[in-house]
Amino acid sequence: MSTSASQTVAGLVRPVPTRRRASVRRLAQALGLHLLAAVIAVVMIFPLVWMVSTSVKASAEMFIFPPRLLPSRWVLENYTRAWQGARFSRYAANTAAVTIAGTVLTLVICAMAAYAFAKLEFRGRNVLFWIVLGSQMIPGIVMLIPQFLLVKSLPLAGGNDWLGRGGHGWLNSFAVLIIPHAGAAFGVFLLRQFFLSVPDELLDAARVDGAGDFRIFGTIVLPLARPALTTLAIFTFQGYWNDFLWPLVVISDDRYRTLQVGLTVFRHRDTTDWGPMMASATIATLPMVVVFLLGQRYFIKGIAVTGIQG
Amino acid sequence: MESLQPTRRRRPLRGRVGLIAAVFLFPFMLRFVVFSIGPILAGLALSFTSYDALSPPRWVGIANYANILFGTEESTRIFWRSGVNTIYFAVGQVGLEMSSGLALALLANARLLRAKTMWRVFFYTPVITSTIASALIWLWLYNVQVGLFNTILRGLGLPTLKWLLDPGLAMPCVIIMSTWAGAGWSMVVYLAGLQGIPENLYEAARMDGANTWQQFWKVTLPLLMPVTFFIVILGFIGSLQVFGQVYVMTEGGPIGATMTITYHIYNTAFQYYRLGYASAMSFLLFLLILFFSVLNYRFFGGRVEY
Repeated sequence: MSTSASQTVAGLVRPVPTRRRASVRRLAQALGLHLLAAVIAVVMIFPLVWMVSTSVKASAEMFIFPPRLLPSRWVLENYTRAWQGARFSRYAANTAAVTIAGTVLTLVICAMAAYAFAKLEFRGRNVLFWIVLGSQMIPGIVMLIPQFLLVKSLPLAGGNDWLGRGGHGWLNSFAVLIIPHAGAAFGVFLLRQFFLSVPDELLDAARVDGAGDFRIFGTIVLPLARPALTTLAIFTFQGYWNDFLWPLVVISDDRYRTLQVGLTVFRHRDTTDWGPMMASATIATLPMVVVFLLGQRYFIKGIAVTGIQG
Repeated sequence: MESLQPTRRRRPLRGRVGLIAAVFLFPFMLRFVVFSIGPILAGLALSFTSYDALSPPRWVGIANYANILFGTEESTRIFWRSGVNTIYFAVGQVGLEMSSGLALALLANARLLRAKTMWRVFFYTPVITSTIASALIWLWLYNVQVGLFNTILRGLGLPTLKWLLDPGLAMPCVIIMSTWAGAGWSMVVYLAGLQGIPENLYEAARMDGANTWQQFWKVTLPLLMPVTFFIVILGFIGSLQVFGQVYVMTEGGPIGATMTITYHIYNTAFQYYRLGYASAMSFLLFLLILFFSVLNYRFFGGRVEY
């Protein structure tokens, strides 16, 4: 009460100094806030900057004190060594192919299933949906060993007979990197949330005009769902690109190796070649950064549509 | 007449809808049954067998579980050690990731902050960096002889640290690296939560004379409870399965200080080919994750709207 009264009085009698004092305080607050944000941003970005910085330094310059962010002489030698010597061109091509194929496949599979769960009233829909959702709570490690045995003994694949014996199945193939992880339940869940928001009247109107479900799906629901599809595409892209444990287990042939597994080739702790290692890490990171910067608003939106608002 | 028409029209449709739904669901269900449900059930069955991938699996009942928990071999000792390490890592990482994520979200949501998107992009970038690349970068920063941290300490005339080679310091180092890598994710989840809190609640609190601090404790934090629940539950599912950063940075060392359950499972299954035994371990890890989920549910009383 007293504050509001004094404010009113001050406002009438001495408007300028009070307002200035308030705005000075606001300015100080804003300045402090931005300073804090800048410090944290530097901490978050620094390791990545240091990675790039190391990757363009000659080895002699890597260990000097005080450490320099920018090299006195920029070298690309680390990149050429990683690209040719360590077969990173092959790993990069493999990873790109697997990631793109896996992302496209996931979008198709998830969108179709999500349409059924959101817009088709079939028997047992809710039970099935809860099973799918519940399966997400089961940690991946539980499936790792049986999945490995399964792909190894897929019937009639990779030299196997019809009982899955004799060959190596899908081990060391592109299929094993793409298919077992395509169309995860998370994607169905994310797209279903979005499809639910498409009004039924729109679909009914199309039905009256004689359109079937496949037409409605392809010409009405999918185009409307472009933001959700983009979100899922980005998350899936990231999942495939950064996947590690599965490729580590199912790929032993260098021809099918992906970037993440290829990166660990450098990890010989005592004799590590830091320059080429950081160059390879940069190669493995850069495409994700580009995808992120292009689609950054979908990353944030994506987490919001999954329905976790307070 | 009018009441009859809908039923007469709907009935033939129902079978058709079922058929169409089956077509739409087929690709997803095929993959789901073959590569998710099937493996889960097969893994459970496998955990009661002895299997080395060469001779056919042999049923051993609960012998694997008993051996893992109370056996006399080295693997039992490693299992308990790695269990303690895994819980240490998970509690540390989830705790730090949750609190730093909340702090980042509050900062990135502050009314006075300009260019919000830019700051969010900065804070989130470590999340998109792969675990392996991140681990390599930090391995380089932590390096005892030539790493940046020791170079700076040396330059300042301070004693250097052994970082990942110090049994007491190795796990905190891995936790810090993982928090750096994950804080942006929980920030984004918290941001979504913050934007869901109606502004009029804050106005009401201010009317009642609540200062900024009280508004945070009495309005923001309680209303973010479901978000916290979500972050903690997903955080524990992920961090109790930690593997990549340990594989790259320490290989479980020094002297087992960073050995985790998933790493132990990986070694047991794919280095020693004890597949039944390792399967049993993975289900014990599942139980541990379940235990933490229940604990979290009790603690945060989560009511999450999907």
